[in-house]
Amino acid sequence: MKLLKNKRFRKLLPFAFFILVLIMWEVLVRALDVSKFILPPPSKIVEAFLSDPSRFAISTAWTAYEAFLGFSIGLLVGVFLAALISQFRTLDHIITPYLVLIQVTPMVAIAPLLVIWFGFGLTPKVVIAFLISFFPITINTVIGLRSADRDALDLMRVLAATGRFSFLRVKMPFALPYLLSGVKIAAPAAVIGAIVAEFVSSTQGLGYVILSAKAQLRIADIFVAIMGSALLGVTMFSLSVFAESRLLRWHESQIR
Amino acid sequence: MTTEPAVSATAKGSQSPLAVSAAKFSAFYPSVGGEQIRALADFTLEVENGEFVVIIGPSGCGKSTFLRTVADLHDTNHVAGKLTVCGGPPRSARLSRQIGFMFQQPALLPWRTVIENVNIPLEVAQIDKPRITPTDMLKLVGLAGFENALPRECSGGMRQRVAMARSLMLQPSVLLLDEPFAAVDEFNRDRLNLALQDIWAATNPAVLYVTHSVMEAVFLADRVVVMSIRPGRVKGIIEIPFERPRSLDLRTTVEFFHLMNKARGLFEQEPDIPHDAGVQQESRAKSV
Repeated sequence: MKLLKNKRFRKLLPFAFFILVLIMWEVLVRALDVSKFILPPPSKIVEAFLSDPSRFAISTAWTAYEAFLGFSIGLLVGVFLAALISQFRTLDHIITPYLVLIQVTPMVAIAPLLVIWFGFGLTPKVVIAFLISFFPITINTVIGLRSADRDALDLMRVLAATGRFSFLRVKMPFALPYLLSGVKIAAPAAVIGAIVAEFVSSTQGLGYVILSAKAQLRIADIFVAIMGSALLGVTMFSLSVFAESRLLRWHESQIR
Repeated sequence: MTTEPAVSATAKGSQSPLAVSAAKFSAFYPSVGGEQIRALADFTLEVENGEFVVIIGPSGCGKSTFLRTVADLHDTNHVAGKLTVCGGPPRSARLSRQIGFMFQQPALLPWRTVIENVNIPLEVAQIDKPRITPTDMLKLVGLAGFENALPRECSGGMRQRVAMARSLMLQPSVLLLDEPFAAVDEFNRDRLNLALQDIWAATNPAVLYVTHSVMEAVFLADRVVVMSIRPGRVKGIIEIPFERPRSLDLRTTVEFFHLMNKARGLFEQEPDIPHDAGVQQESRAKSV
């Protein structure tokens, strides 16, 4: 019991739990003699990865590249749109319904069309990753820009500050916590977008690995790819959290 | 020193225009029903350059509206009558940066340190060599040594000191304070008011100070303007003749109490509240 209160030990607990699950998985699959075409044991998954580690690494990197490109464009476009929407109520009125429409339409439904339009290469994947990631950034940033401190904006007016100054130096920083909340949703979502696009048509990437492994019933390969995509999502999320901790040192949410 | 503001030179000239002059001035707010709510009615007040005027009155008497109108923060479509600031319309006084404003909340930018916050007016006005540097200004408000603190590391009183320093950076001809210390505890409020008095004496802007506190008003003011409620009118103006600088002990003197009672008396002789047209109109509107 004393050990459970030890801080270091407590930090290790989730990993210990993970290893326990792996061991049980291994033991149960072997004991119950589950077919390797249904559920391979962890040892077989590791084996599958070690048989050609560079293939999995390159596939993961390729998907990461697609997702990151799409997310970056989504970030730029999302912030730009938010700036316009927050400044012009009429524009908000006109385009926000369509932004929602883009968001609620399943990307899987749009993907084939994008393949027809943009070919089988990088472009449709980046476009889908972009489409999936700009929306949370836009709506969050709009709310942020609109909730800038009234008194601070009045102060800018009393000081006869330029619109540029009050936008960049007051409104944007006030919107930053909101923007970064959007990023935390958008960055992992971009990975999903890229893989969805790869499912429709691709010659490389994690989605391609999963599709071809499925065709050849190499279930262990599928598990490796799933772990790769999970790892990517976690990495994107962690980077967003890191950006938040760097950029928002002043914010209440960062006080420990 | 080319950036030195020309304001203080004109402010002290004998023929310079009044800091603030309102004549039969009214201000409105558009209400939901489309009818306008009158916040100020036939408000007449003249503030000399360098004069310290305190406006007191119950909540909703339009005193904040008046400050906001002077600072050109109120919609000019909803005013009537004459109002000049530094001899011109409020807008030109604002655009020539002759107005300083201090809000009830400090309104600091939380990502900027104390000194970076005080520096904002200089950045906006693009002044490289100010007459008083932010460091000196912070000394003046008693915050030396806290330059690099973040607002969240400061107490409420300290934040208002920062806001005070910031409002004075461009040496405004007219300093507007909207219940600046209302959210600060009593002991800190006393100290802040003393600091304000010192800084006012040193930089000598015309001050319009809005408060609920009769004691604060009599302690600080050259003249106390007592307002009535809905619509806001000037109920009476009381001259405060005490020598400056004033110390807190002043508040225990008989003369001080006498003036406070005089101000309170102006509130109490308010038999017109139940019959007030504005109030009746509003209650009728609510019952519909």
